Amino acid sequence: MIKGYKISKTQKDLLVNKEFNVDSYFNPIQDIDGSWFIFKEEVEQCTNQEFEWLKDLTLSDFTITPSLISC
Amino acid sequence: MILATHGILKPLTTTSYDPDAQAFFTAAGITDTTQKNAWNQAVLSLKSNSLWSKFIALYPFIGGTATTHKYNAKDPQDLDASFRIVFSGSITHDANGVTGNGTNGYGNTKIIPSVNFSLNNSSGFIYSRTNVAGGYVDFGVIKSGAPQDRFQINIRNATNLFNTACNSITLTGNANSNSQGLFGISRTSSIGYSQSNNTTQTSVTDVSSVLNANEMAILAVNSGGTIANYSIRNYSFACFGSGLTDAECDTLYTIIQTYQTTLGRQV
Repeated sequence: MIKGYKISKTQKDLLVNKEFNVDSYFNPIQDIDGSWFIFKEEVEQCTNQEFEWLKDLTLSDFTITPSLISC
Repeated sequence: MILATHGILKPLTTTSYDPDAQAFFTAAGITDTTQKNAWNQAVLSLKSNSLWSKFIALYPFIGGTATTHKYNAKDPQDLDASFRIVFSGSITHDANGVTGNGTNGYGNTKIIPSVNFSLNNSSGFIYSRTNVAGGYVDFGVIKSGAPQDRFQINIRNATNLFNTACNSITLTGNANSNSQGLFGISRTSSIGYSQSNNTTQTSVTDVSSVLNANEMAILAVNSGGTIANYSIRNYSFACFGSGLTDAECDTLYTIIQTYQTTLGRQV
């Protein structure tokens, strides 16, 4: 099972287009149930003091939404 | 002169690099001599084999951080117009290059095929160090609605096919059980293109459709602005540009394999 950090939509809106480290941007995505998630490197490597609250998040199960794109 | 003769002053031993290689080192902050020598030799070889001018973007993924990996060595400026990669999501950057997490890590190259490619004269290559099958797009861009014009590759999909489309609608797969090495697609005509699997090139009969108008993703695919099929593979080089002949694909493989060997990360 993939683990990720579950965040609210309000928290997601705070992170979009923001750097968590130099030249690395957050990319919140939704799981199969529509909940928003970010992942390990985004939390552990976050040096942006604006997002200190990330350190309080706990890991949750993440189920990826199956892609409809053939490849 | 007298001081030098008597061993009091050491002679100058500065290494001079190709100016384009040096511009990349300066922009990316590369100071490691092994990394510098590896990329410098790659640049010299690309130039001496008339391949340098074929590409609009060369991503050495030389080892280090998002900053050392984001620059296009062909035009190492921190600009979208220079095809500097914007990395988003959880990606591991280390001595082996960039590795996706399979859930949300990808790079936006800012390359738009309809603006930056020619329909019947374009190519893309990527060096993977990971042997794994799955629904991972290594680089790609797809129109979201039908017909799905694509420029994309999956080196080894879930059914062990090297599955590609090159400015076309149809995916074409050829058997592949190892996703390690330099893989690419190269179109030089309207009626077909070449799949490049290390030193093996396979002709694909597939008529070109139209050039996609979305930005090229790497480590995933951009489907009309939605990023999907995130990869878990580790990549150590990528490039995009004009179409290459089969012989040129072979030469590119040799140059990039030498580059990886110098860095001790060849597969």
